[in-house]
Amino acid sequence: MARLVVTARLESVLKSRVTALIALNGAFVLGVGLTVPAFATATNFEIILENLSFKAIILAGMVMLLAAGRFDLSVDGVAALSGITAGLLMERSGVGPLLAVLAGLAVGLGIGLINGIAVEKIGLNPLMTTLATWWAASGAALGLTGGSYPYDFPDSFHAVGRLQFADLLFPIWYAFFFVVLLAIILKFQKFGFHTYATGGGREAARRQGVKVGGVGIGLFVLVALLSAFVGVVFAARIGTAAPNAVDGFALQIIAAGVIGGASLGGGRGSIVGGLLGLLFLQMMSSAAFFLGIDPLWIQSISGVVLLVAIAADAFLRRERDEAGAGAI
Amino acid sequence: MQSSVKSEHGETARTPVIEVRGAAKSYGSIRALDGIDFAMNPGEVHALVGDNGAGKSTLLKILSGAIKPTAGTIYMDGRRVNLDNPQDSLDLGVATVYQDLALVPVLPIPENIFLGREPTRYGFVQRRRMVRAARDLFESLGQMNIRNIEASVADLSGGQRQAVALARAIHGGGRALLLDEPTAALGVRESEAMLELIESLKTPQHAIVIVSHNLAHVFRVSDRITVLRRGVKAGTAIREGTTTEEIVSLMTGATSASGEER
Ligand SMILES: Nc1ncnc2c1ncn2[C@@H]1O[C@H](COP(=O)(O)OP(=O)(O)O)[C@@H](O)[C@H]1O
Ligand SMILES: [Mg+2]
Repeated sequence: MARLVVTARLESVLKSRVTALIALNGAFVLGVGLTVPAFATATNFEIILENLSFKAIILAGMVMLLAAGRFDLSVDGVAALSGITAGLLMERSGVGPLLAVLAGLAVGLGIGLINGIAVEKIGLNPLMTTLATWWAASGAALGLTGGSYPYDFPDSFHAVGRLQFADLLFPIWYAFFFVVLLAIILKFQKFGFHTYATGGGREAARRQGVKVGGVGIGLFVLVALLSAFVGVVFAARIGTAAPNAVDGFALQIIAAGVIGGASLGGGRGSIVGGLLGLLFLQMMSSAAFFLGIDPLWIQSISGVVLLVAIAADAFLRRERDEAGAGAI
Repeated sequence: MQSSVKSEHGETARTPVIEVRGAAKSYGSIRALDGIDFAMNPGEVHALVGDNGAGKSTLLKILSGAIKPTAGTIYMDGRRVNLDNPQDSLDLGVATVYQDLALVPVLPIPENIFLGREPTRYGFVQRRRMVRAARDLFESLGQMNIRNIEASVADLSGGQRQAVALARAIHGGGRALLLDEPTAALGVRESEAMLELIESLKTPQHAIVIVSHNLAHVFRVSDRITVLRRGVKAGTAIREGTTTEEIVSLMTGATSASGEER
């Protein structure tokens, strides 16, 4: 009896993934900050926040896609090709920045539609499909540059990634905007409810009149558009459109989403949770820098963190299933 | 109210709420259904019986728009309709409790009851309204004690899940209710409650189809019984004019179609 109560209480605390992740992040800041004071400074947090912001923009859409039971590996390729398309148009074709940005976004729209239609209408496997479009897009990005990356952009383009508002870079505000907007849609709007239903029981949702294919296509397009946007903004921020600029984003973002409570099986996940997962991964990179750990090891550590998160999740769920069945 | 014509046999024939003619469905080389005529009359509980694999669920899914028939036409109130997807039949007032219940286990009860037709204001789902309505619905059904209306369907018992699926179908309103094996997963007491519920849902306007293996249940609640055997219709009988033996022999193929009438 007593044990059951304790388990139940522990569970209700941990079940709120957000609470657990806030505690984890807090403990991490405290632990590393006490060891290396330079880690826990406003300057460093601004750097962390900036690095985080680009991934957070895509993450907001990816968590929704995960909730719908899908995922997208083509993110890095889409961002690269979009940034390079916009960059080349400005540098080598004399196209104005506005049109160039729109062309970059159009690349995202196109690849998003291809991903969405291939998976939802033709029924291709999402892993293979988005792996293929990632490959094709990053190959095209490399091929288009012909070896030299575009960098000669007008100032008005740089402004997109470099201006500040209230002491924070624009990309941070973009992230804020998309995270808040999409979190509201996912939690409170009909489309969000249908997203969870699609991922939690595709056939059941379909039979109750949910347009599951439409939800999937819409979210593939959303993620690709956000990726394209990030590709363009990133090029504006660093002043070059490089084909490998955002390599590794897709896996980090999906990992962050899963750490934050999403599952590849669909039906679950929260954008705030994913953001906290992303913050944790980003802080680990930063801490490694301050602790003098080779950045190459970060990838390995991130993998271990992901594994621990999945295992803890599976463990808690098994506990809950054993305790919960018939107790309602 | 209903348009009535006297048929030659002197029995009152009303315009069926839903009717299929020549319904067929193939899965590759498997003929799940072939040349089925089937009608749901207002005020009637029509039972659909037959062995496992006879095609009962397939016929039900054609009526609910969950699958498209390979051949055949569907009429609602005498008008030809196309059921291209489940939304079409939902819009026409057909509510279905599928054999597998078609619930989303990870979601709470209110989300499941309102799945696909969540009440919204400015695009925002009125969740509190959903919870209240779900609670009221279970109270009015008066069966299955569900203590925590916020529970995920994954945490419910088989009977409770059945109740959620039924509550959803009833809440949708509509004029036709399709029930695929509604008592199969239930205990004796729960089955009894379910049968009483089905009887209480019978009105002169509503048409109900119940698929069941249990002939005692079938004879208790239905007005008309149609037997399927290996994808074809073995026969249709008025409950009052038939016996369990006759139905069983139709199911097993001991006799061919008798008492033919739509
Ligand atoms: N999705 C499907 N794919 C292939 N065969 C199917 C499918 N659904 C049903 N069948 C086949 O169609 C026949 C009728 O099935 P069903 O309508 O479920 O029978 P019942 O509900 O009477 O037990 C069976 O032979 C079954 O194996
Ligand atoms: Mg069946």
